[in-house]
Amino acid sequence: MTQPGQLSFSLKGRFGQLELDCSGEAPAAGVTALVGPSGSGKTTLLRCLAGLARADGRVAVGEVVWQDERCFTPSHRRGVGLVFQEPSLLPHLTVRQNLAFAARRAGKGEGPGFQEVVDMLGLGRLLDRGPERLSGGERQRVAIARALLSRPVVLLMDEPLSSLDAASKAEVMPYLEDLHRRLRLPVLYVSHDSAEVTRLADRVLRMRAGRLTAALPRETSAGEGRDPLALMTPDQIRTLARAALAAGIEPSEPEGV
Amino acid sequence: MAQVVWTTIALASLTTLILLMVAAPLGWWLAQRRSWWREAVAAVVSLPVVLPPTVLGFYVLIALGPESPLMALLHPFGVRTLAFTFWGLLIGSVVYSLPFAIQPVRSAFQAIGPRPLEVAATLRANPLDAFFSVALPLARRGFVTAAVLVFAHTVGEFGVVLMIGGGIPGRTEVVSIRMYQLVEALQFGQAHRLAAALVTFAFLVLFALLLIDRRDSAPPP
Repeated sequence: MTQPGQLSFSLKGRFGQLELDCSGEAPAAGVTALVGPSGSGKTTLLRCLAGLARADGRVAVGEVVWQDERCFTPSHRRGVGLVFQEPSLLPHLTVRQNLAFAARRAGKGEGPGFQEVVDMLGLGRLLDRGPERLSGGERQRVAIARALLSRPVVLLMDEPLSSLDAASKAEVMPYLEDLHRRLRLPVLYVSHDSAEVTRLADRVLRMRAGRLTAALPRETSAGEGRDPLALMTPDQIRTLARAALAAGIEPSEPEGV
Repeated sequence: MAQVVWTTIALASLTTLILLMVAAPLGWWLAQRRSWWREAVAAVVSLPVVLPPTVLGFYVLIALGPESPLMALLHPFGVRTLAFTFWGLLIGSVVYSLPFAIQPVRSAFQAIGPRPLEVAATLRANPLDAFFSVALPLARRGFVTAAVLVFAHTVGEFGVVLMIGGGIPGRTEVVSIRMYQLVEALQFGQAHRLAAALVTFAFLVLFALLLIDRRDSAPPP
């Protein structure tokens, strides 16, 4: 039933105010965008998938189970690439050393080599600099390259562009589009920005208050959805209907009929 | 006099070495998420700051005496007591300077924050690997501070070394005790020279510490 390499998850847990309760999957190739208001649990979901936070439930990639009732694979044995929202290069290492940190510990799987990744993200001239001498956009490119060099089986990106100004965004975007074409692994990409989602994502997962409300192909969401109810769960529609009844709103014929 | 200086330097160097190795795991453990029993351990470790050196010296002396259960463990090896020996002095110094090693190292580990270690974990570094390749290098300033403080503090201690070592010439007599004896004997000329040497030493240590601190926090060229 599960395709090889597909990321599937079903997680439940409480994190402060947030009640996480969601299940879904990301196909073995292509970018799945995860969108939703801030505080809806997107970052928490990513952290749970990476093994940095712990919720109850099940996480699996293809046949490999990362987490279920009996087991919990720690982050360092999952092979999950995570690009954090704010640049997170190891500050005591140069760009080259940051990349080597990942490459030295990389899994045995297939993946682009050091030089290929450096070229892909245009890092050739930056290799011997320290992170403090890079611009925000450059740092995120290095962070993405580093995640790729660890040969992950799943790539998670937590709003990698949101801490950047418009110019840096425009600088990093082409690299991301390039990756999208080349990578054969599930990519889960958290974003606030509908333009980013339109350019990068094949599928969109919507999140609200810790729940995934809909999974849809990009076209529907980019076209703003002809029927807003299509984005809602049956529960939400029922809640809305009850609220409408309570407010005394009668169902009426659509205009123009 | 050379013997006294040598004993002092050997004592301070060994104390520093031992405490750096103790501070790495203990400071790391104390830097993890706070809990009441972690704070209890932290308080015990910090006791030597508050206690009079003579109290501490008294307890260590008892622990190193021939009647103590600790020494009973060493009896089979022909060791009856470590009181009034260099090794006893070393143990006393390690206990006495423990907080001066733990505090800076603990703070340095705490200052790293969780992120670099999460990054290391997602890059497949296991916890031990991450400790050595990320946490230790990022906390290096804490270790430098700890080393300087412990070394200087050991050179400067008096009460504990007198209680445990007894100031036996050639064995457990250190600079601070010689200073006291010179003054007692009204040999002010020699006392002046020794005092001046110690002031110079203290200045150089602190100066070096500040230079290291400046170099590490200097903005990139």
